[in-house]
Amino acid sequence: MNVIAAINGQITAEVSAFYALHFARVHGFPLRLLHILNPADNIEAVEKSMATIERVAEKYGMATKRVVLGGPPIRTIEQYLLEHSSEILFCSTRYHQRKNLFNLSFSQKLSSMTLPADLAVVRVVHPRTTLSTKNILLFIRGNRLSVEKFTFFASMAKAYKASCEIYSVSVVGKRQRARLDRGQVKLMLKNNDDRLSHYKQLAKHMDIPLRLKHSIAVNEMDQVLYHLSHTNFDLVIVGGERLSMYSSMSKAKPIERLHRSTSVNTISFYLRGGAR
Amino acid sequence: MKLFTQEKAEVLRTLKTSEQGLTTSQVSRRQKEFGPNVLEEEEEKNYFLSYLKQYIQFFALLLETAAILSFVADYYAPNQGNNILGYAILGAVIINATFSFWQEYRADKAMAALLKLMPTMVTVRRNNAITTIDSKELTTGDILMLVEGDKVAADAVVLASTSLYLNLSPLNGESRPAARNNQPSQQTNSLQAKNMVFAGATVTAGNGVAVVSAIGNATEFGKIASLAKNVEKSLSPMQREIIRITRLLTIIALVMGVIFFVLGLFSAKGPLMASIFALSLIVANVPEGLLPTITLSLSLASQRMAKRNALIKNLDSVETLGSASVICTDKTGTITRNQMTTRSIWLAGGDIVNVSGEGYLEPGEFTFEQESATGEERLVELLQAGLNNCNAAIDENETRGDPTELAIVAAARKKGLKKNVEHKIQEHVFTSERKMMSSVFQSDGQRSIYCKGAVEVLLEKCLYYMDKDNTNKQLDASIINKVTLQAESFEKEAYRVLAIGKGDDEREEELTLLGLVAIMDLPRAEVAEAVAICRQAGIRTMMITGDNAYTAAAIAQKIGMQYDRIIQGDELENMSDERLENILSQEDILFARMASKQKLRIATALQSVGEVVAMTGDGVNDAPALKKADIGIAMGEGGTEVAKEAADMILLDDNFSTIVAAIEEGRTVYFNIKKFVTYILSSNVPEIVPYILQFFFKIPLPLSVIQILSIDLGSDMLPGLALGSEKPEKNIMKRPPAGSQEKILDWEVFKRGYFFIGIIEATAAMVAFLSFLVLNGWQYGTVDLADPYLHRQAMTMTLLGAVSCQLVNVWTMRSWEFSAFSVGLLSNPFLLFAMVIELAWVWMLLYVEPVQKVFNTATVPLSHLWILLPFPIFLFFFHELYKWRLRSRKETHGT
Repeated sequence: MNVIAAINGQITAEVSAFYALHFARVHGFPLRLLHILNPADNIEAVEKSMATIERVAEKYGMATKRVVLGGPPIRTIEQYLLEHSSEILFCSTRYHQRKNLFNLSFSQKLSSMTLPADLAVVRVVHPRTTLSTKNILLFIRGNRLSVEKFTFFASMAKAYKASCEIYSVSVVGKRQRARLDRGQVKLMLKNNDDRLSHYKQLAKHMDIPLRLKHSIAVNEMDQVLYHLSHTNFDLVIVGGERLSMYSSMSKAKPIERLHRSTSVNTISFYLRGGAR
Repeated sequence: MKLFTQEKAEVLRTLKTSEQGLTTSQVSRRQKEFGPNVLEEEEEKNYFLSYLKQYIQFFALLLETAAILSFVADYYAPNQGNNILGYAILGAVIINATFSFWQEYRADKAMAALLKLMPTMVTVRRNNAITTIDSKELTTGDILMLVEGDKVAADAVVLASTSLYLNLSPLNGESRPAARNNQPSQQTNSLQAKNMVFAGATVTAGNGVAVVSAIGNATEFGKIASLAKNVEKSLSPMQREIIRITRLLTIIALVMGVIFFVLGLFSAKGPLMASIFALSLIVANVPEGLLPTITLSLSLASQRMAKRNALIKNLDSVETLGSASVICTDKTGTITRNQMTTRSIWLAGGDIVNVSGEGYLEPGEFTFEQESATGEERLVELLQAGLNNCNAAIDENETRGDPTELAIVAAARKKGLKKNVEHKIQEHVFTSERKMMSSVFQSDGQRSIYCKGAVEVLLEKCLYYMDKDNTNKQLDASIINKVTLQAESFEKEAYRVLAIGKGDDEREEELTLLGLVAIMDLPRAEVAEAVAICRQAGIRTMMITGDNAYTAAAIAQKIGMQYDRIIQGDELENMSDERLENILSQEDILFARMASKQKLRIATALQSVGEVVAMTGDGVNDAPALKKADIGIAMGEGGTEVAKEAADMILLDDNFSTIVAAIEEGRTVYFNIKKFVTYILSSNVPEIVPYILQFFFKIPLPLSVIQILSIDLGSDMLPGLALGSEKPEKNIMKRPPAGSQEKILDWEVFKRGYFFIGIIEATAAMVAFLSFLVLNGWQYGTVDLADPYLHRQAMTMTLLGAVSCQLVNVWTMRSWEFSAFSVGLLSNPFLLFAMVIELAWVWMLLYVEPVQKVFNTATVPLSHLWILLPFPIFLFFFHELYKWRLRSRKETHGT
C-alpha cells in the first residue's frame, strides 16, 4: 500500500506532504510524491519541495518515490490510485470564497468523486514545520465516529506523539436548547461519553493520551470555531462526507466554512467509496 | 518547533520567502492558497426573512387560523361582523409579530469595532522594493515594514528591529508598551514571544521588519474575533419564559376550542356555529396584548435605567439583570476609583506619615505617627524628588499620565509643591525590565538625578539613606533589612510601594534613599453598601483582577466582599473544567492574577452550574467573555469600543453600585411583568365564562368576539403597561434572583388570575348581563332576542362588568404582596394617565356611534349602571385580604 502526497510546489502542498510523510512513517508505507504536470506550476519549485520532503524522509529511513504524470489532473490521479493499490491521498486545499459554485478546486472535485483510496484534504493556515504538532483535535457530530476515522486520527496522534481530544458537538434547535435543563444536558453529554468511551480505552491501549469533550450547540461550526479559538490545538481532523459536487448548490457544506475560517491547520478525512 | 523559536534564516526558509520579499507570482499563488487577510465577518442578517418568521410562530399561526375561520364564517353567514373580527385578529397578529421582531432585532457591531483595529494599508517589501498595499492583500511570507504609529495587520516574526515597542492591549489588555526584538524566543506561547508582532497591535515607538507567519482568522487577533463572533448565547430567562407562557396559554386555548367545537358538533348548533364558538374561545384565551406590553414595558425600564447610568443595548437584558445570580466584576475602576492615592509615606529615617484625601483632586493633610524635628523638611524633599521625576500632571480640569505617577503628583500638590520642569535635561524611561525611572536636572552647572522604582531595584542603586538628622548615612545591611521589612508590611496591606531616591550627578548609581511611598487605588465609597445589598439579594459577587492575591484580598475586605478561597491565574490554567465547576457550585471565589481570556472560562463554568452571570469588562480581549455572559457589562468611561459593542449594558459611570441599581430595576421589571400577566389573565375569565354559560344554558350570547378584542388590545393595554412601570416593591432586593425560584407564569399567577380575580370578574360580567336583561323583561329560555338593540345593550353591560373590575384590579395589583395603599396613590403617574384613557375608551363604547358600530356596543341608561358598582369594591376588598393572608403566611414560615 502506498501513501500518496500531491505536490505542486506550493508551501501548502509541502505542509500537506509532511502530514502524509508522518502518516506513512507510522504505518510503514512507502511515500509517493505525485505531481501532475500543469502549466501553472513551477517545476523547479515542485522539485525543490520534493527534495525537502525526501530529505526529511531519509532521516526517518523511509522509502519515497517521485511520480510525475501528464494529462487531465483528476482522471490521471484516479487512474494512478486504481493502478497502484494506494491507501490514502493527501492533498492541500486553497481558500474558498463563500459562494463559488462553478469554480471548484482540485480538492473539492476529488472529495465529490468515487475514489479507490481514502482522501485527506489539508487546509493549511500555519505553514510552519509540522514537527511542532503537539495537540490534535478530532471533531465529530454527536457520537458519530467510524473506526476508519478514528484510525486515521490515532495514526496522526501516534506520528506526532500528540495529546488528543475528541470533541463531540450535539446539534439542537434554538428553542430545544432553551428548554433543556442542566439535568437533561448532563444526560445527553453522558450518553455521548458512554458511547465513545470504548475509543478512550482503545487509545489507552495504543498509548495515546486522549480525552473526550462534549458540547451541545445550535450551530456546530460556530461551536467548533469557538472551541478552536480558546484552545491551543495545532491540528484539527474532521470527517468529510462525500457529497456530489452539486450538493453545495442547495446548501453550503459546514466543512467549507471550517476550511474558510479555521484558525489551525485542518485535515478533512474522506473514506474511500462513492459520492452521493 | 514553533516558528518564533527558530533563527531568522530558518524562519525564512520555512515560510519559503526571503528578506527581499515575495515575487509577484509567489504573491499571486499564495493569495489564492491562503485567501485574503480578513477576519470572518458576520453573515448579513436577512431582516425581512426574520420578520416573516414571526408569522409562523405557534402563537401567530393560531391567531391566523382564527382569522381565516372568521372570514370563512363571514362567507357563509355574512353581515354578522365576522369579517371585522377577522381583520381585527390579523391586526393583532401584525402587532405581535412587529413587537417580537423589534425585541429580537439587535445589530451586533462587535465585529465592526474589532475590524476598526485593523489597518487598511500596510507597507511591505516585495520583489526587493518597498510598496504600500491594501492590508487584505497581505499574505504569508510577506516582509512587513513597521514604523511608529503603524497598526500591525498580521502575525509576524521580527527579522530586524530598532527600539521597537508595541501596544498589545487588544490582545493581552496590557496598556504599557512591550519591547520587541529579533532574538529567537524560548517561550512556548507565541503571545509571550518577544520576537513576534501581532495583528491588532500598534507600533508605539521604533521600527522593525517582520515576516508574516499567519493572516486573517489564523492570527491571535483572529482568534479573539472568532471567540467574540462565534460565542453561542443562550436564550435569556425572559425569552424562555415568553416561549413557555405563550405555548402554555395557546395550548389551553386550543384544547378549550377543540373540546367546545366537538361538543358543538354533537349539539344542535351545527358545524358553522360550532367553529365560530370554538374560535371565540380561542380568541378569548389567547393573551393578544402580552407581547406588545412586555416589549413596551422593557423599553420603558431601559429608559429608567439610562437615568441611573446603565445604558441597555438589548431589551431582554433588562429582565436578565433581574435574574442575575452572580456578578463577576473587575476591580480597577469598577470597585475602586481607578485613581491611585498615596496613603502612607515612610521616610528613610524611620518616620511614618499618613496622608488623607482620596483621589487626585481631593485636598488632604499629612500626619506624622510620631513627632519629628526634621520630618517636615525630609517629607518635602521626598515629595519634591518624586514630583520632579513624574511626567503626569494634574490641572484644574484634567489629569493626564500614569496613575502611579498621578498619586505622587497629587500628594505633592496637597503639600503645595510645584514641578521644576525648566531644569530637567534628560530622562531614563521606565520599562518593565528596568523597573525604575529617573530624571536628570541641571541647575547652576550642577547636575542631580531623581529616581523612583521598585524597592529591590532602587536599593541596589543606593549607597546612602537620609537619616533623621537630615544627613546622608551609609546604607548598611541592617537598614536595607529595615527598608525591606517596611516595604513588605505595606505590600501585605495591598499597597503598591515605590522607593524614591536622589543622586548628586547624572548617574543612576550611588544614590541616596529618601523613603518609600505606599499607594493604593481605594474602593469607591458606595461599593461596600452595594455588596451588602447583593448578599441580601442572594447574588454572589466575585472579583476578577489582574492584581496579586494580597491586593485582591485587601480590597475585598475593605468592601465586605466575602469569599471562600482565592484562585490565581496559574492555578486556574491547570485546573480542569469539571474541578472549576465543582468549586464554583459550592464556593465564592476571589480571582487574582487573572488574564482577560480567563474570564471567558469563568463565565462558561458559572453558566454550566446554572448561574445567570453578569460580567464586567473594558478591553478588546474582554469581548468574548462579555458576549458569553448572560449580561455583558462594558465600562462607559474606560471601556474600548469593542467591549462596548460586545456588551449588553454599558455602565456610564463605571461604578459597581450602578450594576446593583440596574439589577434592582431588572427585578422590578420581572415582578411587574408577573403582575400584568396576572392582570391580563384575570380578564380572560369574564371573556371565556359567557361562552361556556351560553353553551350550556339557554341565554343570549353575552359577549361578542370583537368585544373580547376590545378588552385585550384596548382597555387592558395601557393599564398593563402602567403596571410595567411600577416602582420597586419594598422587599425586591431581599428576594432571591428573579426566575430562580418563582417563574412569571407559576401556579400563584394562575390561581390568583384565573380562579380568584377572574371568577369575581366573570361573576360581575354575568350578573350585569343577566340583571340588565331581567330588568328589561327577558325571561329564561329566550336565546334570540326580538330587540337586537336590547341585546347590544346587554352585551355592553357584560363588557362594562369586566372592564370596571379591571379598573380596580389594576390598582390593587400594583403591589404583589403589600397593600395597594402602601405604594402611594400618585406614585405612578402613567397609571393615572392610563385610567383616564380607559375611562375615555369606555365612554366611547357607550356613546360614540362609529365605535359602537365596530364593537357592537350600545348606550346603556345611567340608571342601570348601578348594577356594576358592588363588584369592583368587592374585588378590591378581597384581593387586599388575599395579599394580607399571603404576607401573614410568609411571616409565619419565615420567608
